[in-house]
Amino acid sequence: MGSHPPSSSPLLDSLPAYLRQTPYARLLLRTPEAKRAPLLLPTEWSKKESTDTIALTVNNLQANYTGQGIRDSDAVSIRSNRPIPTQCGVYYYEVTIVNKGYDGFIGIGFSHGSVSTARLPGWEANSWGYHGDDGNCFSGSGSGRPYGPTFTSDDTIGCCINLFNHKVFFTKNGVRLYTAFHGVKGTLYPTVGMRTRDEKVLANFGARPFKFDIEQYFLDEKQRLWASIKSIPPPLDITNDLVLSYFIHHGYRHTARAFAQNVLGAPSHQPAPATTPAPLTRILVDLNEQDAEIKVRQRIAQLVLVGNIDGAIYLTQKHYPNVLANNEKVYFQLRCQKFIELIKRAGGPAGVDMLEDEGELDLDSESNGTNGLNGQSHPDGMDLADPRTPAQVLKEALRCGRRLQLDYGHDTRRQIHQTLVGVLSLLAYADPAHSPVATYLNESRRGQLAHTLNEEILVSQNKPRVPPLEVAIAQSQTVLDELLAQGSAPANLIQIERDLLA
Amino acid sequence: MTAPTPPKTVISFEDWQQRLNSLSFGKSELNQLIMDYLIIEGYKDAAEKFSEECGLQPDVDLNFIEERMKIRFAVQTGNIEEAIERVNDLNPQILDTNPQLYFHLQQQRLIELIREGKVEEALLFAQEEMAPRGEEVPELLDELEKTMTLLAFDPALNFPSPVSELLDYGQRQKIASELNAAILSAESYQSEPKLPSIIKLLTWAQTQLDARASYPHLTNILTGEIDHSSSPSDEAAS
Repeated sequence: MGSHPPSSSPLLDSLPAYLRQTPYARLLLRTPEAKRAPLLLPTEWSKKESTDTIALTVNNLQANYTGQGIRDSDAVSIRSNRPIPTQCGVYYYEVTIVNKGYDGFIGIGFSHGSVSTARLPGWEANSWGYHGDDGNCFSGSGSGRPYGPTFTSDDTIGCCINLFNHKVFFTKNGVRLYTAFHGVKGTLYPTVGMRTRDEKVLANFGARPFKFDIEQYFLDEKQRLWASIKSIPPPLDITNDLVLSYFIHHGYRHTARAFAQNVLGAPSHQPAPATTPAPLTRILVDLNEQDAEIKVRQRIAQLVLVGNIDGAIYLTQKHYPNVLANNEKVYFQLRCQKFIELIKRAGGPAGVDMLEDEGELDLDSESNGTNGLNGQSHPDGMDLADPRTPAQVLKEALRCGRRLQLDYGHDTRRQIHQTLVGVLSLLAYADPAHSPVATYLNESRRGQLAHTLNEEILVSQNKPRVPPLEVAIAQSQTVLDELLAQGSAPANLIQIERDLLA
Repeated sequence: MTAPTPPKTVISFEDWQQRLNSLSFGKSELNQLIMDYLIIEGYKDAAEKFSEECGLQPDVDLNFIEERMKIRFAVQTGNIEEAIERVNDLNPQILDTNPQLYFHLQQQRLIELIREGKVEEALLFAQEEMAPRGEEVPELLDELEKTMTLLAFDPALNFPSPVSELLDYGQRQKIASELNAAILSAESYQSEPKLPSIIKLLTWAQTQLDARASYPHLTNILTGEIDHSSSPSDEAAS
């Protein structure tokens, strides 16, 4: 799994809060540093663009107008150090008016990198701005149109661009104003412009909390996108088929049967529909044909889950003789698990004192057939009542461990070697459950192993390794990842794991 | 002013396969997704067995499913009075707080009376039970009027199409779903399963990416078959 972004890293902490848990953040983290530049957000005003009529202070976040401030030609604007990466889906920044100066001719908005900085944002083509002196918004023209309230010293103005519907709105002191511009496209930079004396503005590119609840807006947009996706009519309602094949795949035999009956027969549920979707009927036929096979797989999985590894090996050998022979790693894992189970049952080598009266350990003896392949195990036994004493169990554990060492001790494969060393070192601790290698005793190992063994059995039967439902999810995720990598804005609003699997 | 379209990226089957294989999703999360689906859709037996076999404890009383399904069944078989009674037994708040839903149920009751040819009864019901409520909400009145036009046609003959929809099985289904969702939300359970969204998401995402790249599609969702040819042939020419 592991596609959850880590909860904290310097890179993540540098992002505005509303973006920290998004696919964009994940993309940023997995992109090597050398290639990360096009994905980074603006963080300050561009030093390169500062002229003698604009001075940057406060870590380049505050811009002070130092020009004559008499005519329109005295106007100056400054862009952020970087353009907005479309991958963030929704971009937002805020500007606080530190000083409105003489007349507060301040414009805030976005512009392309090619637009002249001797103009206020909105006066030129490819620039868009909201102006404080008259509250008008401007786009590619020296005359604006009425938009919102005027703004002055101590007001905080926010600019938001929705990068997939290309709409821009502003906020004033945390309150959202309506849409100012449509069709705002291209490579955009946050931009602020000033033109009368003593004007000073301070930007917040997300390092500090915003006045406006952009997080909520982001969530609302997410919901809207999901609503439009949900309104897509499916080519055919195949949800039930996917569900049924999932049950069959994982060997949930009784569930599969009950589900098929619920859907098809549905005595307590729905009047039988006039026509049953054909695929479901087909799967039901499969279900009947495969029943015995599913039963065996389910049994094997159950044996692993209760820790009866010999039983699982026995049944696998009996019904699928090729699986373990062809999958040495799985067989190795099973043998390690058997050793682990014995250690768990013995309660750790603390019982070794009791061993002494039983004479010398006969480690080389094959008599007990603990090598599961020829083992005389009890396939149906759930090992609920083990009649052996902890000392006897420990003795078997030692024998089992010894044999593992013999068979794999010289194995150079890193994974095998590491597992072997880790597992065998359980013997070194009087109380393995509180040892550094205690993770090997974790119950979840059984689940993982049952899962892997089931997969290998299915593959040996020429069946897919994962059920179609998971293929569909994996395909969606892969497509979304690629979309985002290619700069698709809406892809940042869809998160399978958080939106569907949480 | 649109930027020139960059040439489409071509992603090979091997590359794609590798990406797919690198992903895996939590089994317990998947199980939960499916459990929600079973509960919401009312597949009680399956939900019970699933809980046993995968060890997942459902977070609602599965016995509730049965009552919910009886209500659904009642609507689907046209027994609206029974459905209303059962809902009120379960939780009278549900209909009290959803006047529109209640109106739709009454409307369905009227439709059933008309279907059975009980014209007088239908007229009386419409006048006494429905018209007063409809007057309060004009859009509901429109629906009532539309329903009443059913009376103008001879049921032995075919109804004209916009009106005949009301007599379809789909209409009962629609009301049943609306009621089902209301009961679920009263139980503060999600009223819509997330599982069907996966197929829709897949459709949406693949369409989006088609504009930007040539890549292996999931051609058969039921078998999980991925298209081998990502058809790079037409792009290769450029």
